[in-house]
Amino acid sequence: MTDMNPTAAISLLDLGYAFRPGQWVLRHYHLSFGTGRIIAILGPNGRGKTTLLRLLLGGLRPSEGTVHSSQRAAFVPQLFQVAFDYSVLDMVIMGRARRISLFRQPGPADREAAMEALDRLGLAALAGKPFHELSGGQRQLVILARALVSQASVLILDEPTSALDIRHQALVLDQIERLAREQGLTVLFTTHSPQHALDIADDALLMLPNNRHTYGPASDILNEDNLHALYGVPLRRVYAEGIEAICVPRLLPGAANHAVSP
Amino acid sequence: MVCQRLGILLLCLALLATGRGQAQAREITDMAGRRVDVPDVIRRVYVAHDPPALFLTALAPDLMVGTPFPRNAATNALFPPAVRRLPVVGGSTRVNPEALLSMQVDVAVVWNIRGQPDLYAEQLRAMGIPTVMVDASPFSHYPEAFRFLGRLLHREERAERLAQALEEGKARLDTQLATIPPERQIRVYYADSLDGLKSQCTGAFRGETVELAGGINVMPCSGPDGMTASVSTNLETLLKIDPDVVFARTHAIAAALSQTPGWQALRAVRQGRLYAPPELPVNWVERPHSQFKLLAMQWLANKLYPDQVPFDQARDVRDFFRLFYNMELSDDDLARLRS
Amino acid sequence: MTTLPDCGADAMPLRLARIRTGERLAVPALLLLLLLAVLGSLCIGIYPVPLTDVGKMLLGLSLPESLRPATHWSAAEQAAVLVIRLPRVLMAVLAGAGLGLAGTSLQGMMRNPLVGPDLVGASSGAACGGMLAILLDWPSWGLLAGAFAGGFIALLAAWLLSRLSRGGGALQMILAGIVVSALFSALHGMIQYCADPESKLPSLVYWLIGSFAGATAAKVNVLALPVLAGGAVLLLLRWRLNLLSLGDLDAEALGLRTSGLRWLIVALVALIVAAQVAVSGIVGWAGLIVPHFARMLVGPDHRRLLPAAGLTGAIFLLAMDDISRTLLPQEVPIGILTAGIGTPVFAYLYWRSQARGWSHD
Repeated sequence: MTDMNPTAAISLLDLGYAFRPGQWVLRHYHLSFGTGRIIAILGPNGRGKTTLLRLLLGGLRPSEGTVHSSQRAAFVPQLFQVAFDYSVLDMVIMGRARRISLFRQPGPADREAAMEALDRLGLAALAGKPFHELSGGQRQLVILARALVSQASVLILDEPTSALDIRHQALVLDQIERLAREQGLTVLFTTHSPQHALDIADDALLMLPNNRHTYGPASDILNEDNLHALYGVPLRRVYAEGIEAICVPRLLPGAANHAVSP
Repeated sequence: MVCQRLGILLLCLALLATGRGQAQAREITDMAGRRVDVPDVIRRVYVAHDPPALFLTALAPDLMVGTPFPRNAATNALFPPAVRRLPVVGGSTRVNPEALLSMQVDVAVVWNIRGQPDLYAEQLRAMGIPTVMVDASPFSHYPEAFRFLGRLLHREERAERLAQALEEGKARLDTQLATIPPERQIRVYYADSLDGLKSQCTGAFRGETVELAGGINVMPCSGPDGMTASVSTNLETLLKIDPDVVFARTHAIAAALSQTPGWQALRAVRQGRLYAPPELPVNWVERPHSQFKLLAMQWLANKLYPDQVPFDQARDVRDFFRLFYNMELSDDDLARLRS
Repeated sequence: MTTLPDCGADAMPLRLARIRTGERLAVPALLLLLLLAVLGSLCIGIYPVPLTDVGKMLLGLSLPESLRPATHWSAAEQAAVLVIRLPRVLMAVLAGAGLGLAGTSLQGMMRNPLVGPDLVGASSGAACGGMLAILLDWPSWGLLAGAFAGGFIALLAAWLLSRLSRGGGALQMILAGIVVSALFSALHGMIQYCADPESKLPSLVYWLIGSFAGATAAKVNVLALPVLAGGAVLLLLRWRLNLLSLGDLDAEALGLRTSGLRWLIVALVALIVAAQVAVSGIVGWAGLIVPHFARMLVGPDHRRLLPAAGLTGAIFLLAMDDISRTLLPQEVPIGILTAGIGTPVFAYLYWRSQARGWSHD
């Protein structure tokens, strides 16, 4: 277990949450996320990943324990449907909400910050397009830009790659890495892909069955035993040609038969 | 001695027996042409609508089980004691049918609203109450209505007197109005709603007081007249029409209009020719329609043509109340009517 | 780290600039159109008044007594323009602007382009509150307070009802509004039944049928303050509406206190609707379709949409009222006209939203 780090971006102090008394989703989470680190959160659907994110953002009140955030967090949700057809630029400007007081409108400085964020993500040309006309990956990046514009130091992303094709997955992961390395942002993201976690994360949090969890440096935590316990399927972690990969093995017909428990 | 007493007793018994026999039904044709079986002796009458009820307050208040219209202290002050002691039982829309049954009425009287099916009369008949329909829509039918009710309730003589009073009063007014040439007739706008923008068009019986008083109703009708020949208009149209007189149905309406800037632009209002009828004991003009309409048309005609139609409130109103209600109005009563 | 290629190559910054200009011009253009519409409305009407006289009368209004041109028109002509038409035109403009602003704010707040103040029951509720105030003989300010309370409660009820089902999509909101409207209609009926037919009933029935025919300077004053003040605050909040329309989770993550903002907007909408219903009765459909017209002109960004909706609403209701008072000798209640236009437009919008998959659930 990681020590309580006084410079941590977010610390969880014996955090627990129950939907109803006795029905615990998470319990005894006592850990901290270091500033400037990339943290991957893994777990199957329904185990409480989104609940954890809402607790981190302060949208839910813990049933026990506390969440201590020293810095502000911005949220990048997974599903995004807007009732009205705003332009990309208008969407990104919305990220400036915290810096604009209640009765004021965004000014040129806000517009500039928005364009800059779009530029940084290579989306400047899309600024005038209606949000609806963008592909899934582009939309995800726009929402990412919106999170950047709020100048939060912590980014929390809910399954940023789950709905994207491979090319856009690569794009998003690349941007996440850049933001952490070049700007020192702390990035937390949930994912279904241990491969992605291994690729870019510094630390990993695995939400195991029976309210257990394990947390630590990604390459340590993402071992075959933990992953098997997490997903209930045997996964292999292999190293070949300078690339480290995690996958569910499928044996070629005729290959040596390792006894694999179902 | 004993024999005499016995004899008297037997006589009384015999009379009682024949009295029983007298409570047989007789057939009467009501004003809608329906043949209805009613008891010969009628002691309790329920009236479902205001106009015939008001007829009966003058003709036979002692036979009524109550009034369908609400009354308050001001109303009661201008009704005779016989009417004052009547409870308010509610009209066709408000009375509880079971309460009606427990009133044990001999006959029910219903207003034959022109063009309406007599569903309510059927309903009462199904409850076992003989129901007669009375035509009380235009004023011209009132005398016949009085006579019919007189026949129904064995008050023929009084009914005849009241009917004749209505006919003679109207005839007298018509004579006075006949001297007025058409080009000198006063054009009247009849304001029926609180904002003054609803009216009754020409020929509609609800607004007939205007025509009965010799005035011309400025709102043209575009269809068959009836109970509701309501028209709505706006101020600019009225400004263009430029009526000589604005006749408001109630004092409340007149007060509201006189204070509204838009209405003050009308010549009639500016000249002070904004009139509202007396409303005691009931509105003389309509809602409810009643024999007071005779007073209403005389009063309005006097306002429109003061030279040709004299109207001495003290004398004419007193005569009316004396005849219809056996009441002597004091000066206070008259003052209250005027205000 | 590899550099990845740029995404999406069609859009040009130039096109962005062109869109902006077109939309930027729309609001001033609407303002000009409104002024022309007001002047034009003062010139038309059943009572014949020469145009030049209208102009001189208006000029005379704005000049002090000594500088006014000589009056050669009759008192009736002056009354027709200044006492009958002017308050009516001002009332239509204020009511239209108020309904446009209120409708747009409601649509943004409820994330649903298919709602309006009358559809969610706010107008009904306001009428009920006002009728109750009349029945109970409250003083004149009590009337507005009653209408406000009624409208506020109706909005709250519709909002809560629609949240019962997960998602709160278009259909749920409309259904919630129907339920709330039906509830208040029943209350109307009860209040009317209890009312004394002579003294109270006439003034109660008037609330239900929208009409500007009874416009007076006093009523315009009653309408002006809530619409202008409430509208001003809504205009200050117009950018926040963008945020609110994203949804609670998202908006809160961006730092918005959604519940507080929602209460405020509901209160402002209730205030404007209450004032409008109090002076002119229930005018339906305008609050629903005016935001759509405005969105077609300036796009969905509330920074431009809200002022555009206010102006569009004013022009729209003014046009409707002009038709209602000049088309036929009998006055056509404006509620009938707005319903006649509003219902087919609403049906079309709903069909289009389903076809395009805009309604999010």
